[in-house]
Formats: sequence, C-alpha cells, structure tokens
Amino acid sequence: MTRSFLGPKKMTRTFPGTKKWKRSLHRIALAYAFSLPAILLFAVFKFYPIILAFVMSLQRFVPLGARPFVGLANYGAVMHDDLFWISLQNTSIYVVFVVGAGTMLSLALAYLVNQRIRGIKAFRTIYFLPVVTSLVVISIVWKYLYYPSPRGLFNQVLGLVGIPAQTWLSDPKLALGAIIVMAIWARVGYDMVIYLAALQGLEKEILEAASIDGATWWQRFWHIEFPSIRFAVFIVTILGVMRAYRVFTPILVMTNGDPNHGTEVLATYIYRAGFMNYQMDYAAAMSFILFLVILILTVFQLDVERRVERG
Amino acid sequence: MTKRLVRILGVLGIVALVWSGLAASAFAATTLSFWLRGNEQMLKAYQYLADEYQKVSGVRVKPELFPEVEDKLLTAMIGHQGPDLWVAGVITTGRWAKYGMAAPVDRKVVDPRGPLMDRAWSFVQGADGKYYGVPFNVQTNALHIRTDWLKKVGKKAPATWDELVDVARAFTYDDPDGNGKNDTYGLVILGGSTKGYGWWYWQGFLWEAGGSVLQSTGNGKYKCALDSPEALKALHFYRDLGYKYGVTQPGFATAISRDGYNAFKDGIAGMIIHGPYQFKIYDPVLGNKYTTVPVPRGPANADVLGEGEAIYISSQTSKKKQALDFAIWLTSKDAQLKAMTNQYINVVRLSVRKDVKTADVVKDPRFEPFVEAFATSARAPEAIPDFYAVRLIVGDMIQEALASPGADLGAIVKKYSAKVNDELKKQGVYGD
Repeated sequence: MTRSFLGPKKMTRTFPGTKKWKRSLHRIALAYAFSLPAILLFAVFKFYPIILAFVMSLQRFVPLGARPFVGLANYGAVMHDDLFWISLQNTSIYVVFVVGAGTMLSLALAYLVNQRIRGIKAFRTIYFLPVVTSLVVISIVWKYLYYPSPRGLFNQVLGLVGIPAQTWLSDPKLALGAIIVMAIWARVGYDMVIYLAALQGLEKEILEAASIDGATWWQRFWHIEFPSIRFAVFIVTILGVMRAYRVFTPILVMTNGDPNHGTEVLATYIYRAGFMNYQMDYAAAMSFILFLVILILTVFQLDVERRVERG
Repeated sequence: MTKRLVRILGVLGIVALVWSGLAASAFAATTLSFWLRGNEQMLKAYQYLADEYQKVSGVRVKPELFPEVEDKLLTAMIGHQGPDLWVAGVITTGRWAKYGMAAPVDRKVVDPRGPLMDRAWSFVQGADGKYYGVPFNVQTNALHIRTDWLKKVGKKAPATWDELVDVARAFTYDDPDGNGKNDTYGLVILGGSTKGYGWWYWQGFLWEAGGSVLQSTGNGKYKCALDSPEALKALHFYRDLGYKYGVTQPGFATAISRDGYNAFKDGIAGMIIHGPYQFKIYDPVLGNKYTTVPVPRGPANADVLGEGEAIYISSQTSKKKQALDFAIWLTSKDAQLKAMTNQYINVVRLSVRKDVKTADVVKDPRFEPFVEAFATSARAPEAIPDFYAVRLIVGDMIQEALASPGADLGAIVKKYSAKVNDELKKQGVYGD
C-alpha cells in the first residue's frame, strides 16, 4: 500500500485481463453508438420496406383491404409473363454494353487524363461533369438531341454526311442502343475517377525502370499498370452491374419502355405493374427476382475476382 | 448562468411544442387537402378557386400538384396519408370505385335541382350504378388546324377522312410554311403506351369507323370487339397515316400528348386533335394562325371522345361533409365561370351546368366546335368497373401496331382482344 500527500490510495481488486476486456467492451459500445443512426436509418428505410415488399409478393394486393396469402402464385405468374422475359433481356443487353463498353472507355480516359500535360485538369473536370448533373436533366437533354425530325441535332449531323434523319427513340431497332450510348456517356466520368486514383497510386519508380529497360507503352500498360489496378476494375464492374441492372430514370424519361417494349427494362416494368396497373404484389415479386439476379451476378463476380487474385 | 439558460430554453421548447401542436390541429381541422395532376398554371387556377371558396365559406383548401397523382394517391392512401379530395380524369372513376378509394356521392344532395348535365353525371357512374365523383368539367375533341397553311396550299379544312388525308398530304409535301425545306407534316397522331395515350387518340377514329373497344353482350357483360372489321379498318387507317401516306409527325409511334402539343406549337405539324385546353399555350406562338373545326367524319359517323374531370372525395377522410361542400361549390355557376375565365388556365373547358353556355362565357368562337360536338356526338367509354385497365391494354396495342409497319394487324388485334377479354374476366364482366 502506498501513501501520498493526497491521502491513501483507493484499494481496488483487479483480475488479470479485466481492464483490457472493459476497454474492448467500451470500444465496441462506442462503435455501435456511432453506427446506430446509420443502422436505424437503414433498418427503417431499407430493411423494413424490403421485408414488407417480400410479404406483399406472397399476397394478393388489395389497396385498402385485407390481403390474402397466395404463396408463390405471383412468382409463378411472373415466370409465365412474356413481358418479364423481354424486359430481363433488354436489361441484360443494357448491362453488358453499358458496363462493358463503359469500363473500357473509362479506363482509356483515365489513362489519357493521367498524363502530365497542360490543361489536363480541365479535361478531368469536363469528363466528370455528367456525374454531378441530374440524370433527369441529362435524359431530357439527350431526348432533345435525339429529336426525330430533321431539326434534331443528331439528325442535322447525319444530314451533313448525307444520312437521312432517324427516328431514334421511336425506332425499335435504335431506341435501346440510343439510350445505351447516353448511359455510357453519363457514367464514364465516375469510373474514370476510380481508375485515375488507382493509376496515380502506382509507384513511379517501377514504371520508370520498365521504360529504362525498353518496355513499350503497351507492355508497360499490360504487364505493370493493368495488373496493379485490377482491383479497381473489379470494383467498377461489380458496382456497374449492380447499378445498371436497376436502370430506371433515363428509360422512364426518354421512352418509358417504348417503342413496343423495345426499351422496357425490369425497373420500368416493375413501376408499370405497381403504379400504373396497381399490381403491387406482382411488382414486388418481380423486384425480388431482380434482387436475386443481381445477387447471383455479384457473387459470381466476387468468385471470379478471388480466383484471379489467387492466380 | 448555464442553469438559467437551460431553463429558459426548456420553457421555450415546451411553448414551441404546444404551439406547433395546436397550430397543426387547427390547420388539420379547417384545411382541406386537395390533390391534382397537371402543370403550374393549373395549380394557380385551383389556388385561385380555393381562395375564392375561402372568402365565401371560411374553409381553407390547399391544392397540391403531383405530376403523377394516380401513383401518389395509391401509396398515400395505403398509408392513410391521402388527401381529403382530388380532381382527376373521369376515365379513372372505375378504378377509384373498384378499390374503394373514392366515397360514393349522393346525386340528389349534390345536384337537387338538376342543373348539371346528365351526360356529365354518366361519366362518374360506377358499374354498380352509384356515383363516385362530382362532375366538374367536361370536354371533347376538335381538330386544331393551321389556317395560314391551309391558305398557302389552297385547301379548306377537312370534313371527312379522305379530305383529312388530302390536307395532311398538302401540309407534308407542299411546303406550307414556305421555308423551302421539306420539314413540315400534316397531322399529329399519338402512339405512346404511357397511360394509354395511343388509345386516347385512336378511340375517336375507332368510333368513326363504326367499331368499339367493347361490345355489350347484355346483363352488364361485355366482350372485346377489337377484332371486328370496323376496328381493323380504323387501325389500318391510323397506321396508314404514318407509313402509307407518311403525313404524321416524326416519332409518332412513341409520341405522348406533350410531344403532340409541341409538334403543333412549333410548326412541325399542321393539325392535331384534342380538347380546348391549349389555347393559352398555342396563342403566344401561333397567334391567329390556327383555328378549330369539328373532327373529320369517318365512314360510319363523327363520334368523338367525351371526357372530363371530376372531384373525388376520399373514402378515408374525416372531413367528408366539408370536402363535399367544396365539390358542390365547384359546380356552382359562380365557380364554373371563374374556372373558365381566370387568368391562369381554363380548368373548366366546357361547363357541366346546363345553364352555362360556354361559348357565350369565353367569347371565343374556337370553342364552338367543342360545344357542338359535346352536345351531339360525344361518347364515353363503356361503363365497366375499371376501364382504365382496358385503356392501358389498348394503348399497348396501338403502340405495337405503329411501331411495326409491316406487322399483321389482324394478328395484333387478336392478341390484344384476348388480353382485354382476360381483363374483363378479372373484373367479372365478361360475357360471350
């Protein structure tokens, strides 16, 4: 027992490890306390509606009355719905082109804007501008660009090279492609920034050493830079697939699924079923199928990533 | 000092809470929530009417604008957060009745002396014979046509389908705007599937050809009549306007009403068919370069779509009496005149009252074809529980017919007839 001028020191019995345990408990409690608002928000605005929607998908929807349980009947009906398969096919085409072409284009752009040349920051800003612009605004502007008469901007450009005016968004053969082009333009800036960050994190010495050893531009890119930013490619692709499968705004604004369901995607079909036809039960069932599609694809992509990382 | 500050803040907080609670309950007790779909001008017009109503009744009405009021109503009413009343197209009457969203109204209470038109009441009658809305506005269609273009190509306004094609050709190929470019078109048609716009525009052509979407089989039962020769004729004519004659505006296959209005306003197309509600939009651009004439007669008749808007009282509101009083006031002579002549937009196009002669009130001869058509040839769709669902299916059919120039229309109408019959079975009104 020690004494000090402040009086006798308080005697406390401690067991070995108790302090450490308390400290870690405190740390966990603190972490939860900080996370709690986000957890609560997520629970109220995400998990609860998801659970409600799942319950709804197992019922027959009656807006203001009792909703009888119908089991998997809504899911069965979806499986026999031609329009569901058309919209799934359209969505998949959209995903393949927007994510595929978008990933390559944004990587190329990132590589370009990673050069040390004058005014490069202005280019980076310009490419990133669509990302900070409302997608609704972009869609409306592009709808005007695709204006189907010879007065439309794109048709005027075509006219300069002797190509007749196209009806773009009204043409079943062109409509989906026209929206895909717009979507790629709108998203490359976002992906470009991720690639740019990855490229700028590379060690300059290795690249310089490769240059000194006589590596060509392509060899440097393919053997050093690309393998080093592969994690970014996976992130961009996984996020891109998840985002693209839920495409809704540009389709709703530009075509609303027309012409002849040529641009109908799952999200617009779900909206149409739920809010225009008042078939919330059916729309909920389709939403869960869409959720499963995205989940399976994401798990598959993560698995591919793991295999690639393991070599 | 700190304790004192905390106390003061505490007292202030309690006062604020009590005050806001009292204010909220006072607001809730005296204010009617009224939803509408449309544009800012319509919101201003309804706000003006609400202010006028407050002057005479002391009751405050708060109009709120929603771009998609039907969607909003569904989600809001599921959560018991809907309005006390709303205004919507009469085509939706069956839907509100079917789902129990609108409360039935007693015609004798609303219209004891019978100044409202029977036809207007028929628009808000459910399949069970009850009335589910208070008629507020009626309208029908007329052909809006560029008079300067007519003069330039030396034609008179068309009165038949053949003449319609003839004038549309001249507007398309004879450079009616004289700019030396081949950039004008004859007639606006709509093929967009959104909200069944294709049906909305084509329905008049269908009746004029002698067809109909549904055919009564007696005892309140119906079957689809889209596969009749008359319906097929109307569909062929509609598609031919676009592809065979090539006289319609570009992008017609997916066009919705807004696209059509813009095509006419911007001098892309010289003719368009719709109700009397775009004058304030067209006039600043086109001035006196256009007029309205009756819709050209088809092979069978000159029937046009009769429609309108009604005030629906929520089945969930606790202020049914106040809401109904406001709806009744909206049908009064005073309110109808204000709704027709206010500075914003004519939310009443043709009055629902027999004692209000619209042409005399608005003093605009362009209203005459509408008044005449409503009195003589306006028709409403068949009174099934939910015609809106059928409208959406027919809208899809029009879209498919217009988006595929070479497709077999016979096969298309058969496919969609089956869909319409399935819908009738769902609604319990199918009869063979």
